[in-house]
Amino acid sequence: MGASQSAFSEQELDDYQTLTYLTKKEILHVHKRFATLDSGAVGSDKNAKLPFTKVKELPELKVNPFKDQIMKVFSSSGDGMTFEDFLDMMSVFSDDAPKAVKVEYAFRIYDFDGDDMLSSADLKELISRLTGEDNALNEEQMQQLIDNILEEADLDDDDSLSFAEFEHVISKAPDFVSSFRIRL
Amino acid sequence: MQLKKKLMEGPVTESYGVKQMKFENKKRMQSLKNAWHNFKYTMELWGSSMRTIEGHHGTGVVSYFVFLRYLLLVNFCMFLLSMFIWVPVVIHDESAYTSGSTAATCTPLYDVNVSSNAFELIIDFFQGSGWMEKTMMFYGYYSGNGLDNTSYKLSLAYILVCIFCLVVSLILMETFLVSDFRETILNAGNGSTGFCNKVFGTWDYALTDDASASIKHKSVRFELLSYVNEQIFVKEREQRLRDGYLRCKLYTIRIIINIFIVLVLVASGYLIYYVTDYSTGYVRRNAGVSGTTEVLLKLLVQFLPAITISALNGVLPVIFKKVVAGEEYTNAFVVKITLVRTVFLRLASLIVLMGTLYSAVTCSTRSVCRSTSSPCSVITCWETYVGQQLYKLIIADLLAVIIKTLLVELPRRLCYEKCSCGIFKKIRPPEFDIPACVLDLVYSQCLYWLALTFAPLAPTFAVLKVVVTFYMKKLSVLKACPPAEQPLRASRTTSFFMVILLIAFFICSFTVGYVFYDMEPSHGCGPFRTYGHMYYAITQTVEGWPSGAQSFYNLIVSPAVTGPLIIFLILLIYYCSVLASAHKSVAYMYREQLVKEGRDKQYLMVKVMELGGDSTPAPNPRRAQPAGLKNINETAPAPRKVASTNQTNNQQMSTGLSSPHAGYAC
Repeated sequence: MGASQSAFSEQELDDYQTLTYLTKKEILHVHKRFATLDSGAVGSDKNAKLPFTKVKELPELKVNPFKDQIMKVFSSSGDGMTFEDFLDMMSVFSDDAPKAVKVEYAFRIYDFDGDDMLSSADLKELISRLTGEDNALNEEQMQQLIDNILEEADLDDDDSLSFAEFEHVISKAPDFVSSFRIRL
Repeated sequence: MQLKKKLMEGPVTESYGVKQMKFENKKRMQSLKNAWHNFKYTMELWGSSMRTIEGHHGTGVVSYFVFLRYLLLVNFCMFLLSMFIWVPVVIHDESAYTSGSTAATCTPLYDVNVSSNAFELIIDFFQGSGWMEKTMMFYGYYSGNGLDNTSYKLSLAYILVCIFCLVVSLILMETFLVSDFRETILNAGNGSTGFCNKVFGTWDYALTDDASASIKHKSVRFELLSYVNEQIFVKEREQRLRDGYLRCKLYTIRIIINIFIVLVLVASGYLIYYVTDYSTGYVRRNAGVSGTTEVLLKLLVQFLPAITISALNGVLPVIFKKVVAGEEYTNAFVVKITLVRTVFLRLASLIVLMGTLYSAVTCSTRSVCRSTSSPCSVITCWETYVGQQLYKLIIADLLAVIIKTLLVELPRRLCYEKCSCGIFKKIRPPEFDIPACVLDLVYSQCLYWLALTFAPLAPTFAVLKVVVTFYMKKLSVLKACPPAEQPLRASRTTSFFMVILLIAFFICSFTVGYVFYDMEPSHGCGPFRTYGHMYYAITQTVEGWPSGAQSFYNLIVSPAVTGPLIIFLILLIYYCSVLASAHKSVAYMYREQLVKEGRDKQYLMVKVMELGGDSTPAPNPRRAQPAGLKNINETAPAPRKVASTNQTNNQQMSTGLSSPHAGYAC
């Protein structure tokens, strides 16, 4: 803790605290975890950009079925994550981030084809990732599920969920906030 | 962080006067808030343990530990309040009662034999009798006489502490319950089937463990499949129940099963009554025995009610689970109704025990010192007697937690892992049954609320028990129980448990209130021995006030004020419920409006396309539409592309606006 504390000045820590939803101790902890991913690179440049393969080693991300999407969404440059991207990610996943922020990022994570709508293909990919590769549902069950979801959420009958519809349906989902959370 | 760059490059203006002061204040408040958050984060009790458990088991199990931590807060507050009772008594010793009052004649009659046998001393610790009875643990020790020189009235302090403990518990429960309850109300009855919740809210991002993750995948699949199957089941059942004969048969089966369950509950209530009666009778008959085996036997018989209650609490829920399969309810309802029945069982056992004690204490042969004698059981100080029974239950509870984890769950897990012989393979590893654990907590919390009046040191035991339970359960969860295949919904059940706790709280506070208001205290022991009823402590204090305050107090508690107040509160409740149902229909109307506006948009898009002279696309067969809108929806897919582009534009605009705020505190 002492080593990484000297990596940041008081002013920087203050800034980070105002700009994110984390406390100073949490920020330092996040930096420590970030440094363990690749101590050499981070030791020389505290804002080093680590490639996705290294970031995937983080235990919380390793078992997550959406890890590549998460990294893609939070990466500012598209080919790696800097410490600030990582901090951004931890801030959104922290307890104090408001629901609206989480919903916005969840939408971007679940939008696999990047067209700003959750189409049937997106939902299919989502469900198959949730159940895991060796536990896939068969065609008919998958279709039934997708039909049910669209029936519940798709208010304008266009076979896909826009952000407004997604937000509306998440506001009725009580488990979302408690599960969309990583605590380091 | 691009925002920071943008902010740094923007123009910097100076502000003076009031604006500057407001800005400085805001900055100061923000830094204070940050400091407070930092402090809370470091001070969070058991934070790292909870994170480990979360990584292994997910958020459902953690909600149990959060509940446990909250109960620790409640019990700790009770402990602090109870210090007002015993700390002054520790500082000032007792002095004799002057002659002339019933208290003076009765006090010497309350005598307890203290044996000198070491073995018996240990037994006495567990029974709360002998040397233990004369300690600060029980009501009988306190007299308040030693504090006559000071202005501290122990009797008033005693009654006020009990009342304040209950009030503080209620306030803490409300703060915990309200936030949960709000969420539950917001999400219930909106016409949603909860599918989206299952899909978008299931994956627990906090999981870190490979094994837990693969179990989570399996459980997600299981849940989604079971949900789909449940829908099919409900549809099938509706089809089947169109047939009148089958419907009659199902309802008859349900009625029979409910009657059976009521009979089982009544039978278990009677069993507890019988066992308590037998136990007190046995103790009465063998009051003077000595000799190791007889004394041990007496100890065992004394604990028989506690053992019976624990056994019933373990066996009957299993029966409930087996029986409910015949009723053909949906899965969600099965869980709820089994929980409700188990709750009845738990509360019933406590109520029966209280009833038995009440009948033993209010037996007809009472002396002037308010002590009962034969043919009823001989009780010289009934408050201490009740305190002893509760004390035995508390000890049994504490030991049960330790024994269950160390001697039942851990060996079971070891057996499952190490032994590969035939019989042992049938023993599955123990499951962390959250509803049962939570009901255990509610039951023990009830015991502590009741015990506070009769055994002022009970909150110390409560705090100890909660801490021990936390570490035992943590051990059980991390080492003994594997992650559950069917995880419990964290959100909905927490508020349900809180409601159960609240109901139990009201039963306990009614009991305590009755004891203070209607039961005559013993005249040989306790701080109320000079009073005819316990609440006289308050009325006597009020009589010492100036006459203005006195008449004001009398007015407040008279029926002239409380009657209309109750009527007013009832009206308020009625008004709020009417308001709530009106809001519900307004919300429904808004939802309909949203749907209609979506359809409106499609219609307009179609018109735009027609005017623009585009090609006609294929009809959208997915939804059955009312006849009036048929021609619109036949052309639905083409406008979808335009609509989706427009929506994309809108959404991009909104994303562009909101993304600088995303991830940052405003």
